Amino acid sequence: MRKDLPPVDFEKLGFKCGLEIHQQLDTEKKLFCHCPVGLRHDPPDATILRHMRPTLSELGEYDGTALMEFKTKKQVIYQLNRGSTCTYEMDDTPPFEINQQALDIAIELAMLLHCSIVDEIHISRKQYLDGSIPTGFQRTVVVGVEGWVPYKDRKIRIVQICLEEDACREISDIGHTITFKADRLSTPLVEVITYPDMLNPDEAMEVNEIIGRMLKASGKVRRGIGSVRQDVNVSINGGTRVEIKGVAKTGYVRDLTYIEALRQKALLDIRDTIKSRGISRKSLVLTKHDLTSILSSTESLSIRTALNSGGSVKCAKLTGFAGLLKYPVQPGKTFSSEFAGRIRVIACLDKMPNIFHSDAQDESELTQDEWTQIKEITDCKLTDVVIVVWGADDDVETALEEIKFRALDAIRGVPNETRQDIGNGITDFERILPGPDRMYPDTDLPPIPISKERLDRIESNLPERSWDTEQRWRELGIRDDIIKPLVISDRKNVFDRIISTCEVDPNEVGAVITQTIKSLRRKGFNTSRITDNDLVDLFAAYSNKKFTREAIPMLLTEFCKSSNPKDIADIIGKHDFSPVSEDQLRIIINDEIAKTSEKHFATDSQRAEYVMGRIRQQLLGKVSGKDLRSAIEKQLLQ
Amino acid sequence: MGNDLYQGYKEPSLSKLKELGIKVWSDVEISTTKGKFVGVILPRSETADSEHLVLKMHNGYNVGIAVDSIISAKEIGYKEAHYKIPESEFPTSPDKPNVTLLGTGGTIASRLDYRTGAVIPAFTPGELYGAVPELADICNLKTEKLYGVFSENMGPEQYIATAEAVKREIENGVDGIVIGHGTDTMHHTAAILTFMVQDSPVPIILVGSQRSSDRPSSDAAFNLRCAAHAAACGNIAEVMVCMFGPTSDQYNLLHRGTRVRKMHSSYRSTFRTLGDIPVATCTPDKVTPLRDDYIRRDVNRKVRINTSFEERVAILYYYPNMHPDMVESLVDNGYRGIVIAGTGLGHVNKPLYEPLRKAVEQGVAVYMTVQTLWGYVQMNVYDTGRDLLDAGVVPAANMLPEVAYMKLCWALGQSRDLNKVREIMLTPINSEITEGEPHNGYIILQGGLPEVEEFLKKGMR
Ligand SMILES: [Zn+2]
Repeated sequence: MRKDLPPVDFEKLGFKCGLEIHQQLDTEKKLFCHCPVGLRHDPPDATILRHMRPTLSELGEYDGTALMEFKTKKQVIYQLNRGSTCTYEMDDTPPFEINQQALDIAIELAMLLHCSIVDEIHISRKQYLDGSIPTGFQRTVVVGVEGWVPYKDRKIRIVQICLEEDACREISDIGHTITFKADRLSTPLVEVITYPDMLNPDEAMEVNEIIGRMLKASGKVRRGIGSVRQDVNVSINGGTRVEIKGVAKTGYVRDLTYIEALRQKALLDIRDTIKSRGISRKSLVLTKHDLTSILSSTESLSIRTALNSGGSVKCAKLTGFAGLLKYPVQPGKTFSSEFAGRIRVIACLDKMPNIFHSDAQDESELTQDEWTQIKEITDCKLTDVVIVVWGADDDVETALEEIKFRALDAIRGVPNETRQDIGNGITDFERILPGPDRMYPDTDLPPIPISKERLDRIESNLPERSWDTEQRWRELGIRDDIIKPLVISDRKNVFDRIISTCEVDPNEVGAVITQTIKSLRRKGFNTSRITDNDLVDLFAAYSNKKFTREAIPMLLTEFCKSSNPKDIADIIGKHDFSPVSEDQLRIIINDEIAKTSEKHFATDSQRAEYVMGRIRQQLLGKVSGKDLRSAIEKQLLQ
Repeated sequence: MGNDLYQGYKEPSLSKLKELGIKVWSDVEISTTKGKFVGVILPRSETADSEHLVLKMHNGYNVGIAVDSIISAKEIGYKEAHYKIPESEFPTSPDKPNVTLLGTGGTIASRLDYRTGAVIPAFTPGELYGAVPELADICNLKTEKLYGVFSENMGPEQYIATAEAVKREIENGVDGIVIGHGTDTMHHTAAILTFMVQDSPVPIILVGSQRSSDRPSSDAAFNLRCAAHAAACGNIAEVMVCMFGPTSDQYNLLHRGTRVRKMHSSYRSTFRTLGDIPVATCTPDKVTPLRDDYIRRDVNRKVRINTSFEERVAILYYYPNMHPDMVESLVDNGYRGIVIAGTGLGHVNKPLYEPLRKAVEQGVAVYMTVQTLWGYVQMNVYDTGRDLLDAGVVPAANMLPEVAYMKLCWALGQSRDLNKVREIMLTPINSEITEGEPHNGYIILQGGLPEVEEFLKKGMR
């Protein structure tokens, strides 16, 4: 998390944040075909080429995003791998019946979120013209509406939970060609949408974590990189809802929302400045000029590359906009980046830099002379700004249009858009925010009634809600750093069994499950052979003082290592943990201290540490570390 | 009126809506035993059950609500959908060729119909221009809706009217004709139009879509642009099907109407030329012939039509253990023509010989084709075949079964004299029978083979 962000009074700013959390479900097969779920890392077996066109929505209007995507005229390439894709993913076969296992999981999660379950599910198509889905739409289903999760002393409201198919993975996006791998397509996922109830960036992150843990705690979702992604919506007073898409880690949420709030504030400041200069959406003046002849022998590498491949270089002059483009909007980014981002996406001019402007002449590749000429032919006054773009002529024309659209948006304030996380809390333009017009019903699949029997079956097996589990454990005095990983552990049930049957400190049990076993697994041990019964037996023996705590990691390691262990008792039985009498202990310690008489230690504590290290192993499990330490210190003092 | 307020809703939903004082397009807040739902009430599909009402929530999602769970409802607004395809004047230019698009029911541009869940076509030039503006770069477009039927409901009435419309448009001087058609029986229509409309001076192109035009990935716009170009500017004045070549959006194929068949239930590239190669490849701005033996565009040629059609013709798809009564019942029911899709080189089992002989004796025209689809009937190789020949079954060479069916309907419509019918059947009009099959007329690549996998890896397919 960034430490360099200026302090902000988020309440005064009217900060509001809503979350859309996408979590893949742990099913064997995909949502609308029978291909197995999983990612492929081998080269594709075949590729296909498609284009996307906007269509009419159910209510008869074209969607804004749809039209924008069409402007970019992208060639879309899909990579196919045999075994992970069939003709469904190619959009050459209609969908198969919805995956019932996935639907059951989604209903269960909706119940856990206190949602009202829909009586009859309707499969909808949500248009995506970016090519990420070969059909051009995502099949999605609302399963539950109007739920809540507890947070602090209030409820964060849930708008709805949907079951939907995941999109393809983007491989590259260069110029007019975007390439996707179709392996991930149609992986079942749920989308949990909250109301904008989070009132500052820390709340946004914490609530995201709470919902994330709840989904994982169900034990029915996929884990690992890419299995969860969140879209974060942010607005401030006078701003607009802006959606930051595809945030990979909840840890990024705080910085992203923080900086987005600052960005919106900056855009509002810019709007006020524009207004104070007497410019309105009606009176905005933008003129276009062709610079190809005056820059025909420029030294600017970017522009020369474009001209050499038959392109053009043009500019737009915005009357009265002088100075605005260097106004900071995000850490390290000025208002000019808002223009550059739109041009990158919509005009496909994606080699950066893609604009030069007269507010930052020194940072451009153009010479002072060239700027003088440009200003002369555009009749650029001190109060105006010139933005230069270059590339294929069609794209340059699109770019000039986009400059106009972005300038018009600036007069309104914060444009309605989706932005992408480009790292370190910074975002860049992704696309215009789509409206409800992009939703329309799927005519390939009929509505599916959800029977009472089905709901009863799922409800009767509903697990404890993660926040209830957490609260119960907190009341037992378990620490938060144990609770958080434990509640999403698949061993959380055996944890409850152990603490209810054995006289042990729950924090110790929790630490073994969330830390010891995890670190064994990281070291490459096969920890899956440790059964629930093994853990119960282990802690039963421990609580009966058969050995001290220090023996536990050693016993588990040996159990995982040994070629043919029967059970943990087998391993425990191989060791002699018979306690050492005080006299014996004293003799062992004194012997060891005597061996150190030649050695020099700065402090007694260091000497004690050294002695401890020498005899710890032989006393492992017989004497607790704490007892051993105090016995050594006692002997040293004498 | 009346029930128009409750489109598609049946009892008990209908009474409940009336009782609650809400109707289709009402923006409502509904309290149910499960919770609160807010949205616009949509029409109900007529095939859906009568226990639920459909709500479009304000974020665009649809949900179904059990009518019996509704406690109360409050109308907070009314939002009727206006189905409208952006429409504007189709721009015309005297330099551009004139094309007439005849509609039979295939969808090219469309909107959705709630009641049936079906797609309603956009069809007027203005609507088409709104949906596929690129058309204006290709031609001046005139449209005429002949029918609005699904392709499986096409029949003689539609074939004849289409042929007549084609003739009329040609005589009006158009530079090409495009026929919008559902894909399922497009090859049947292509075959019969080849027979009914001869000596056309201009291209006659059938086109449709495998992915409906209500989806962004639809092949409809590309198909239409290709077909419009082939009709407006192409030099091939034949009845052809213009559909995707590969499954990628790359180019279309122009298939001869008598050698084309739909070969996959859902692929975009479902239409294939069988036993030969296609006539040409086609993009929205270029037709590239793959062969030279096509009929050239020639404005001086006079189109002729012959819309004869006998409806009492059947295809008998032979299977092992077929009983004689299958043939007998056709004869008893007055069928005048039978096209057999026989096994292998054109065979059926022995018990059918006698009923087939009797059928021929009673004046029924019986033709043999092969259910292998590729290859010729050759009935002299085995005794079975010779016996069938002896019974009067006429081998139809390499005519596809559906094409032989269409041609027999057409031939029997012209004459009852079996010799005359035979002459019509066996005299090819446009490649329904060919002199031989080229070495590359039968290409079914088998996935999994290393060389095929290599081919798939290399390019877009
Ligand atoms: Zn599949």
